[in-house]
Amino acid sequence: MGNFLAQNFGLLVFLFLAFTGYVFGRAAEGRHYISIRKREQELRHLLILTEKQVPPELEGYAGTLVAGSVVISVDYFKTVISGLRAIVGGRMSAYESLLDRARREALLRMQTAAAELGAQAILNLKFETSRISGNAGRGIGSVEVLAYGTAMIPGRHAPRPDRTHAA
Amino acid sequence: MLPEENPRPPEHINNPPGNPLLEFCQLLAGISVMLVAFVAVTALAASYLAPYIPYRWEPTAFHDLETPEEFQSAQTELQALVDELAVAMSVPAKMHVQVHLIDGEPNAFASLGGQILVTAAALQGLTSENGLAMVLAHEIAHLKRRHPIAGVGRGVVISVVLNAVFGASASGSAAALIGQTGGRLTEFSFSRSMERRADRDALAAVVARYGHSRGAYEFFQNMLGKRAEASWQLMFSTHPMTEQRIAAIRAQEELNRGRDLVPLSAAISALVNSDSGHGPVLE
Repeated sequence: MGNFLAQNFGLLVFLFLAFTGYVFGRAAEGRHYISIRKREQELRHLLILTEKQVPPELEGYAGTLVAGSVVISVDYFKTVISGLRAIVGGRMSAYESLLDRARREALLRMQTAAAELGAQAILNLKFETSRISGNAGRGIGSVEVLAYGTAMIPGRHAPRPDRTHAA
Repeated sequence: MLPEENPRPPEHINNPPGNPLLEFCQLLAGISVMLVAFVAVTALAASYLAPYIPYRWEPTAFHDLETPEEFQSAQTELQALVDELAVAMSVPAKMHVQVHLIDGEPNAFASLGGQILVTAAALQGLTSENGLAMVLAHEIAHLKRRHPIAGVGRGVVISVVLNAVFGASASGSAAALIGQTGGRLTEFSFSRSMERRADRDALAAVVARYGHSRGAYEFFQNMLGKRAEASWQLMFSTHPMTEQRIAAIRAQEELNRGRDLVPLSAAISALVNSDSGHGPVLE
């Protein structure tokens, strides 16, 4: 028995990590989605638009930058399954849910920031994403998704460039 | 016109539902099947091609093996018998077949560089030269047909393929692995067809030498007596269907009823009849 353990130590560590990754990763993902859906519902009135031009309804609102950023780590099970998937090709469904969560969480954080400023809408939404940390040649470790845009705040006049002093 | 509120994100588009465990199992099964098929084909190719490696490139394993003092004279006689058999079996002259008598579990095997290793325990209980000649001829047939290099070639190729697939980090670099395989020359195995061919050659050689095949089965019979079929898988795992082989040899025996057996030479005879601590190691 001890001999078996010693000989298959690497395999046992692998199975333990994959199992832990699966159980905890699944649980974390489930919890996260519940929280995402709840907050999305709460913040639905805070409009997010990709429009660059200020719509007539928001004319005269103050505009200011708001950003929401999130970093989500891949779990070991997802690394393993994506490693296998990388051999045969096809849809990386393990990463799809990861990035879906990251995008939606980033939007929610941006909306939260805008809500704290009393904004009514966010214009000119942009996404950025980057891979950070822990890859060491083994697929992605964690990803950052950044969402940013212009929060439109009513009741305040937007600072306009003072043309008389410009020249 | 501004919308009333943000649309609810559709759940099934960017993150379609699916069972990751099921996907994992499908991927694992599919890739395993492909890998096994690939390794099998490569290994087969290697064992067919390896015998084309020039014989002089074969490393000589065990050439510096020291024979225990009490085995010296028996080994000289074994070597004489091997030399005669090698000539009779038309082994190429450049392939110098060398036999070593060693301590250890009952076993006899052929290895790279024309080496045959026989343990003293394997000889215990032999009564005639015929049985001994059968074993030695069997190992010589392996050497003549270049089976050791085929076995090693197959082993190396399997290691390299597995290493390439699973990454070098798991078990050291490919080069180290080849080195390891080279160091474990006795761990390669012969296939069943190799064993059958060696058996056929050996029986032909024994018949050519003694004019009959009586007593040829003695060694195998002896091995069966020493260890149960299941437990001597360890050493004879690649010598399949021993009962069947003995039956085949015995069928010929019927034709040889009453033929004389050749007694063992003096030193070997002394060795197999001694109880001086070199008896068969039983498990």
